[in-house]
Amino acid sequence: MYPWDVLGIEPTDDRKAIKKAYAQLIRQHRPDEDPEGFERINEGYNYALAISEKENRKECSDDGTVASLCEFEYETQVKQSDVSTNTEKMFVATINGNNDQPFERYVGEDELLAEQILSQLHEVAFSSIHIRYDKNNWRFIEKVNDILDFELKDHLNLEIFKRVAEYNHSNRKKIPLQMIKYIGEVLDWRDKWSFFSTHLSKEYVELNYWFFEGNMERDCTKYSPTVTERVAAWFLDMMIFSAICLVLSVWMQFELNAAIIFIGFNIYKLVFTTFTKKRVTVGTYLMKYNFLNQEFERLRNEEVLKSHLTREAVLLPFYLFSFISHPYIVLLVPIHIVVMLVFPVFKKNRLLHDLLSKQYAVKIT
Amino acid sequence: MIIGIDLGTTNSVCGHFLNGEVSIVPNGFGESLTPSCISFEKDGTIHVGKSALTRAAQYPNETVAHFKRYMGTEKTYKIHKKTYTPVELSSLVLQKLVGDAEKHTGQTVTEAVISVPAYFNGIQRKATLQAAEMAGLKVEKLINEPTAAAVAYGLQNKPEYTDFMVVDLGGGTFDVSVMEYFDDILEVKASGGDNHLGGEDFLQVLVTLFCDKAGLNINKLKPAVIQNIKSRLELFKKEINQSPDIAPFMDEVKQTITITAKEFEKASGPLMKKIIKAIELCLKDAQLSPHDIEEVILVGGSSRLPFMRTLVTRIFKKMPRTDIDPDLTIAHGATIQAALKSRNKDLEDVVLTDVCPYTLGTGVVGHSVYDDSLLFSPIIERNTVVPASRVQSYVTAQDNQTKLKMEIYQGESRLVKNNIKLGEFELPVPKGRAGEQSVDLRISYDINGILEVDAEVNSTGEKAYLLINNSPQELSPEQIESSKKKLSTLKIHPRESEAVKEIYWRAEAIYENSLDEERDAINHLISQFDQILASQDPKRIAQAVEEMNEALAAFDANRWI
Repeated sequence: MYPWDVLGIEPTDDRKAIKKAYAQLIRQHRPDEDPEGFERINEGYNYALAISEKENRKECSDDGTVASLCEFEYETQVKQSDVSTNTEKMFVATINGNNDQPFERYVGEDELLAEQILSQLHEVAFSSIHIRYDKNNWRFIEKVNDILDFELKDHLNLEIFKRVAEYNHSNRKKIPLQMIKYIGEVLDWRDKWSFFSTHLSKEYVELNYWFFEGNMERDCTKYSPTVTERVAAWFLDMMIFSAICLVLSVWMQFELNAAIIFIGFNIYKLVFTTFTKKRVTVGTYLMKYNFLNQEFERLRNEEVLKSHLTREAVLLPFYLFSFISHPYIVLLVPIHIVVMLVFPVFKKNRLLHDLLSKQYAVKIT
Repeated sequence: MIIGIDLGTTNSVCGHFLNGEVSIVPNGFGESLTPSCISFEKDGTIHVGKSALTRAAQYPNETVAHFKRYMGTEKTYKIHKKTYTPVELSSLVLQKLVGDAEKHTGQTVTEAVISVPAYFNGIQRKATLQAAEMAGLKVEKLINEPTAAAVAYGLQNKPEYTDFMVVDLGGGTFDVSVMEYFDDILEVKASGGDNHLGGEDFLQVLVTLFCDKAGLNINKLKPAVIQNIKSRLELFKKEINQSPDIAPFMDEVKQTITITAKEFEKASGPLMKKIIKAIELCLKDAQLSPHDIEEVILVGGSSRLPFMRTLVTRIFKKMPRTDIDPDLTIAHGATIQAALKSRNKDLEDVVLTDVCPYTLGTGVVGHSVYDDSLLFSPIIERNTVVPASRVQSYVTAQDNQTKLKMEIYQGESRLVKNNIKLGEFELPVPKGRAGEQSVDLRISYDINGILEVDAEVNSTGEKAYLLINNSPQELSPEQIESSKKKLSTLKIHPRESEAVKEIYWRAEAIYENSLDEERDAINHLISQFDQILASQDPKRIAQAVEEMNEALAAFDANRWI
């Protein structure tokens, strides 16, 4: 049974036995003389070590929670290193795998510093806009690199990563984009993505890396129409749209018009976005941003914000109009919601198709 | 006789085994360190070692150093219309070391054990062996530098299954390696570092500090003046803990400059961060935490910096081993290995050290809501032992896809656009629903750094193959012969008059940087020295050389204290 047949020993979780067998074998299969043999043995060896590691860990955690295991590990570490400074008991929230329940730990100087950094992060992230946009107020992040306990540093980095994503998701006051970039640079996020991916869910990683690495332009904004083009497109939009409304109002009651106009406009844009290749009109241009996580979009750049405002301005008369003919306001809301919910799913696929022009692969997980 | 050689980036050392003990061979100057520096005179005479380094101040265009960084690449140096490869230059240094050893012991050197960095790949190792061959040395085996350091400290006599770390901060390079010892095998588990970080960078920090305090604009200074400041601060670096004051030693600066050890440490912060990061990364690659490491060995001249030691102690919560002179540790180890070898008791230094220096992988669709960029999907992780071969399955991303584009990247970034693209190919797939068609992509990486990529569509058996070979061609025996011939036309400056030459250059350098009244004194000294040389009496010359050395040293001291 692999890998034990390669190593020529019985299945075991004794690391010493595995290493002994390996040491014997590679004397006969040196990498420069027998690369294939060496590769086979080395791979079997690493596999065997991984198995034994897993077994050992299972044994340890059989009778306790993950948290207790960690505490145990930490205590032995403290004992070994003879660090006796400041061993008061404190509550430090750490992340441990996917189980991010806080547990008790003995803390030393580094832990106190970590705690301070986290509370400062919270404080600055929820402060007023002037404070948030001042880089000097974020300099405390650099202290993370003063922590020489690498395990704690990793935990802290993970916690900061997680909090940045959460604050920006739920908080009305966002951490500014350039500050996220700054935090990411100080904490080496660029090289740590596989570490974050193994400890946090995909959403966190995608969101934060999008903030951190995403440059301002992306596929949708690659084509930015000139002002003339925009005006022309808008004019065209309005002409077609008015025509539709006119046709509809001929055989519909006037009171229905307000709702019809609203629905018609949205359906028109939806259809247009779907069937035209690339971004042709202002309408479609705006639509791209309308339905997908407006909050994030707004953060991204000025242009998006502008287009967002334009959209509001365009829609405003229709909203007002439907207020005048009040019975139909009831209709307006559910339709808007339906469009908002259905479209993102649709859009996601479409964008991928656009970009990838049917070429790339997806990794099997 | 068999010797051990540490062929370093900035300094090289050579040792031999005498009466059961390692004895480091002194060079023509009676020093153990021979700078890996070569200077070419117009008439074809070359100088290797300290005299070349002294000459570098006046003739920077005729002097080469740090060529070890380019071993195994196609870089060449052009001096006086002749080109030299790093291999040829290294062989000149080896010749010089062997010459010194033969002179010192009176025996012929036939064989050597040479140390190479753990991260050297097959090509770079071969290049080192070729350099030895050109120098007429028989080298059967190379030893990894961290292994040599471990041997020097006798770690092979420790209880088995020990993990330890070797931190090597040399003049121009910084290497860290995590190693494990078991069953007479020293295995390099992971290695990392920075090819452009070393004592010179710390010196540069001091120079910047000094110029700031003295009100000098570093960009406007003449190279000779900078050289003068550097050589003064090099001394200062060693005694910064004893006295933080630098008395005036040049025309431009009249006041005493004070640089405290604290200030130096603070200014070195960014460099220390790099060091911490490299250590952290190396531990992570070896999947160990600092408390798993049982022993830390500090190697390399710059590991004498007090805050470097403090840092290592703080990270590992134990004192690092530094009892052997850190400059000579590797040469010590290489010599022990040479001695063991001559008795056939050499340690199995298994060549696990060939690790893949970068992560290799391909680009995949991320299906992210926020970002449409292609994501990097690693196949062979960094620091994987090579030869290695890994396979990963990929499926089509959308319905009715007709082809798959496979791009091979190297790097550590999440988005492929931030990594380096090595190559690409396309593979036709039958139409189907998204995820229906799968492709197995295999990447194989061998010890010579050659990359093979195979892909196979599972349903049709359609195959594609890509070979990526970025390593230069190996040298043929004829090429080695012609290199040998080229090198033999060079006249290596006779060892006997090496010291005389060096004195002239030093005197010249001191003269240029001296104050007026001192210049007369130096002129006087030199003319006296000339007279003695003219007498051609070897005994008198030897005595004069010694006296001149003392006198010049006194000049240096006078200027500086």
